[in-house]
Amino acid sequence: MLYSDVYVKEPIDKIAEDWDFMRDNVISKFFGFRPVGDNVYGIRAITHESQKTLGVEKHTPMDLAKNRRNFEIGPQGVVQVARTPLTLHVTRVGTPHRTEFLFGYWHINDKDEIIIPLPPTATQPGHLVIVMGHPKENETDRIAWYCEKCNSLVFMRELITGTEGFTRFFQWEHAVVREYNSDPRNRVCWNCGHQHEAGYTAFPSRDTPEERESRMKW
Amino acid sequence: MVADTKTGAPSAAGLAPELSFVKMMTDTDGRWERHGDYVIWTGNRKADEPGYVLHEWLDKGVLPIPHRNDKPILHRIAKGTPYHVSHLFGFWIAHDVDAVWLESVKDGASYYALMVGGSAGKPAETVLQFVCPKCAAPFGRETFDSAKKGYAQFLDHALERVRAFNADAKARTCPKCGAMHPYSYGFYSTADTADERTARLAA
Repeated sequence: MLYSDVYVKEPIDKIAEDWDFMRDNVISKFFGFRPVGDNVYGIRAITHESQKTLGVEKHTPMDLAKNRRNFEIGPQGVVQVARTPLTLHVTRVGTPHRTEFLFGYWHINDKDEIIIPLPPTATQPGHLVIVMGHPKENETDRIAWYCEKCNSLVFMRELITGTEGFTRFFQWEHAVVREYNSDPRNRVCWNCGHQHEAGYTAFPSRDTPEERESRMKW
Repeated sequence: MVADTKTGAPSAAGLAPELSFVKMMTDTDGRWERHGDYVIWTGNRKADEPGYVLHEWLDKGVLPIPHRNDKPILHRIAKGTPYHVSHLFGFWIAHDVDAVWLESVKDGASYYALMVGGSAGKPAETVLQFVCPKCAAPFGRETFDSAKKGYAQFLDHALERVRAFNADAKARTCPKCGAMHPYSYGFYSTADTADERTARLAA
């Protein structure tokens, strides 16, 4: 190699802490979302055959089901989008998006979000890598529910993650989902009157019976 | 109502916003793309081709990032850190924003993604320089205004720099130890001259 005469002598682990976010002794730091430098990272293992075992079997907290579908909302309504291994899917700023069985709401952020499914290896399950810009200043994250019949906005809350910090996201997510579920009137479409299922958080082990029932459905 | 697409979600005709887009690590054209908040490159190498190797420049010397493991590697390149990817580009670059290097192996072939960005309007400045392979001294540093001129212009400019570097023995001489830097090469192998092609393969 061209630079082999000037390689650093020490092992990489002694020089660069957490140099590989997917190493066995590091990956658990990214099971939620972790801001590092200019980006926020998340890594999810794809370990469940279906949603039925989410939160039941012992797995890492936010493991994914293989039968999940992914959706975005645009001017034409809800669109199903693929998650193809070794393909970067970039959800643009402002696009409401949702992953079935993982989180029961629409997430809208002020940053582009790169989602990369990686195939399984001989020793590891497949993974999903998420990279998105770290919100700054007045940039926000929003959690919303849209009417499944007429696409009207039914309920929404906003966190200014640019100033509040992205590390607050899941604490806030839990509070918003519980607020939405606390009153059936929150889940009635103002436009067409359709009654919606309960929402659920990204942590199936914390589900109430109502949330678990909803997670199995949508 | 749900429409199905195997790529990104389509936007409505006219002024509707783009919802999403895709870039495949299986693509063989190895093109860079500035789109949204990131500049993204993807590529791959067959099992019988030498893998791309990410190197970072540190005060202590050059750090090669281990590669071609059976597990994927996700590595953050901190903003301001000069880096070089052997066989992909024959010089060193540094950005004013973080970059993310991803490598995944499947059936012996390696698949790569390099994502530069995460902060609005960046990379706005990109530094291009060379590093002496004998003493690790950086030289020939130049800062390109990629916000004003665009990242596509940087790619073209880099090739012009490479051609000027290769044509001038003085420019290739390390100002610290006097060693002669070998020929360099640009981002796209399809544009290589014979010397650049040789340098890319030997890297």
